Amino acid sequence: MIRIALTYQSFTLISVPKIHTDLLWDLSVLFGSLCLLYFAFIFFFRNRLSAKAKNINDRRKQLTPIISNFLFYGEDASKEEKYEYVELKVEMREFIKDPINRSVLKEILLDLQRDLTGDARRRLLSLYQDFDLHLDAYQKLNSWRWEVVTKGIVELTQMQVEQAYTFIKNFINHKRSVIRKQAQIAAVSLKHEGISHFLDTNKYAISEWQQIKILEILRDKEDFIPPNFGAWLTSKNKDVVLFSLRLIRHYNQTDANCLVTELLKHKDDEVKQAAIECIKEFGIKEAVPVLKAAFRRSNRATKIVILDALGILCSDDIIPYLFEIYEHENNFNIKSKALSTINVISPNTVLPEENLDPSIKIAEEMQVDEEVRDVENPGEIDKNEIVPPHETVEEKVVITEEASELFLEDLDVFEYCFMEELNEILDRSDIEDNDIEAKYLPLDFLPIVVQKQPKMAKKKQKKTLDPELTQLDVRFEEVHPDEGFRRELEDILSRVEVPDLEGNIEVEYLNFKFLPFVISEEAEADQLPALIDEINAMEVNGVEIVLPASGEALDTNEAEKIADKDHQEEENDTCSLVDWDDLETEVDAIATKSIEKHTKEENIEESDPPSYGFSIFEELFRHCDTESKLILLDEILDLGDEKELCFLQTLFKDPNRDVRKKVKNIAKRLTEKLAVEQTANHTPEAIVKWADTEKNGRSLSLNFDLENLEIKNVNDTKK
Amino acid sequence: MKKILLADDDELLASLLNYRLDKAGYKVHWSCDGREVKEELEKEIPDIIVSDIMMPYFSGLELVDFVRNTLESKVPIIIISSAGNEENVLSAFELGANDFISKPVSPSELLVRVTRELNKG
Repeated sequence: MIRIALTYQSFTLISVPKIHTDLLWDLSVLFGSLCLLYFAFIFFFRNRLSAKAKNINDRRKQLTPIISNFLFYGEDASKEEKYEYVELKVEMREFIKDPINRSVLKEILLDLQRDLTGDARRRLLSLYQDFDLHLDAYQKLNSWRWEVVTKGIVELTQMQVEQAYTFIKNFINHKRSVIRKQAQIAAVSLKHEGISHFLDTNKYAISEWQQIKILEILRDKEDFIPPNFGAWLTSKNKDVVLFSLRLIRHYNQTDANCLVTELLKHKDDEVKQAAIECIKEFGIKEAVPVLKAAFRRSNRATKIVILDALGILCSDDIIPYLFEIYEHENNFNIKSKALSTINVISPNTVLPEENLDPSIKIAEEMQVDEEVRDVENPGEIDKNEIVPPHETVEEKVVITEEASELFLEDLDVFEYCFMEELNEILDRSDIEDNDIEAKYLPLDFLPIVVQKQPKMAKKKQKKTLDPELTQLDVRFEEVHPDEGFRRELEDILSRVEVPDLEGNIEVEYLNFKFLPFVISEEAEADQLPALIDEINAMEVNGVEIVLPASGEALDTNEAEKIADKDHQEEENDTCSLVDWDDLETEVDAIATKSIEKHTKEENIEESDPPSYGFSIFEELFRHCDTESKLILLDEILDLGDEKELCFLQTLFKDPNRDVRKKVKNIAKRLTEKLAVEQTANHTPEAIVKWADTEKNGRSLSLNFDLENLEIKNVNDTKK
Repeated sequence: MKKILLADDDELLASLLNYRLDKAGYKVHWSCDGREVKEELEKEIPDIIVSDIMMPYFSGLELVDFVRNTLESKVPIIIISSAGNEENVLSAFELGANDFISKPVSPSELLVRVTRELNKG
């Protein structure tokens, strides 16, 4: 029972409501009727509109030939034609009494005026007024509806009813923008004085589009004589001032220059910018001081416009001012504009600095140096340069900064080769006869180092040095020092053994003039004679190296003597025995000269070449990313030597933290590695072994023959 | 009497030009769309064609192309184009149009151009 009750109860909730069937029928009839009524309305109004359109079209077709007749009626027409014309006009007057006909005629004339020009259009416009159609437009002006007023203004404007100007000009400051804008266009279009009235009375803003429209109307106006628009530059309406400036530019009214310049003092930046544009266009150079004065008080955009104007108006004398702006301004755009303005005034004044390849720059400098040199001394040999006896003038190479860096690297190669060849010579000397007279060490292959001095340095040097000294033909050579090389030389000399020789052999002369004299930048001049004394006192394994006593510092006479002697030697091309007197004095002279030069160069050149050799990793390191840098650092540890150690020291302040950390680690490990290697290699046995092993595998082959080496038995000397 | 085919969908302007040319002594046949022009041309080639560029079904450019390439006729063609439609005018010249006149049209100017073209032939 309960189950049945529940079942039926639930069904009642979703059952159909009990509505009377008659009511449903009534509703169906109602909606059906409404639908029919709707379709009936549509049908009726559609037909009505179609009928109206057809009626209008028919009337248009009827009117068009009449209008054509009116438009193309000629004054040279015959009497019959004139009679027909008058009759037609009377008919037309009757015809347009009907408002629909009047409306149709008006539409036709408005349509045709768009497609016609010339004489036909003039007749069309006069026809419009002949039929008093403009009176309808006047009535529209009195309407309370803004769209009707606007239509009336537009109609009168299109049909060029000049009499309507008096009525329309009252709408110039209408509160409705659509009416106002249309009235402004109408006022400007209908009469020449319309623009003046508009600028005089306008209280509202003038949009860009409106300005362009008015400008277009003025441009198309025939026989329009523009008024002096400078008169409105004093207007309180900012937009009037801006529009006047635009008109001044359009009509090139240069007589308003003073007024335009005065506008640079305007509070509004938009006006200022427009005035600057005008100044720029007219090229008013008198405005430059005002522009400069206005610069500080202007905003960023105006400053940029001012800089642009200065670039056009000014000459080179403005460049310091522009540089001042560049230095003091914080804004990037202004700074950038200042630089570009400088380049506009004087092209290539400011050259790019960022992202440039320094090697290319140096190469260019080298080229320029060579060109300058060729221009300054065409075919003339510079007296301050070392010229080897066999070298022609054409073969001279001017070594620049880059080249001097490479030269330092070459020194290492030279050092290695020299040591190797010297060992070889000494070994050979062991095998040869007792009466060895090693007369010559053919070392002409050695690089003759020519260090080109900067011009300023040369000039200063000429002032301070004795004039006779500066005229020396013999050039000094500046070679960066290597203390290790000296020590190695001493070691080798100490190893010299001549077992076949009886008694003591005295190396009387070792002509080392060919060698580049090693002068430490930090060394004092008096240290060099001491070194020579030290070598002189050597007696190694029965071979005594006789060196002359150390001399004093070179004076100018001595230098001259040396120069003469060297010059003579070069001329005769004779290689005499080693003259240690000459050697010592020459060393002294060069030391003195080098120190002088060094001190002068320090004052002149701020960037001296680095004291360490050129690291091959340096250039790679400069142009690679962080990851590559880390890999390179590993390679430096494997392959590097002292040069790389110096290079690593420069990287301690690298901006990248990882690189910095790794550099310190690598530098430490490399130092340890080099210390171990140095200890192992600097024993005499190691040098001999190193020389032997490297002899076969060297890449650089040098002709290192015995020359100018005369070894004399000490016993013979005693005899 | 020289026969002019005037092709323009603007009835008002066409009737005005028709009236002016007719008054000048030419026999003018006016067609309001491209299809009609095409049919008319297939029937008879006029002495000169004055055509608007923008027309329904068959534009002025197509008309020039049709006359020059399909009909292979050297009949003078004057194009009427709206101002600022210079690209189409250039295209029309490339296709073989003889002259052009821009809207708003001066009926007197059109008459002069038509006369000149007819005198050339």
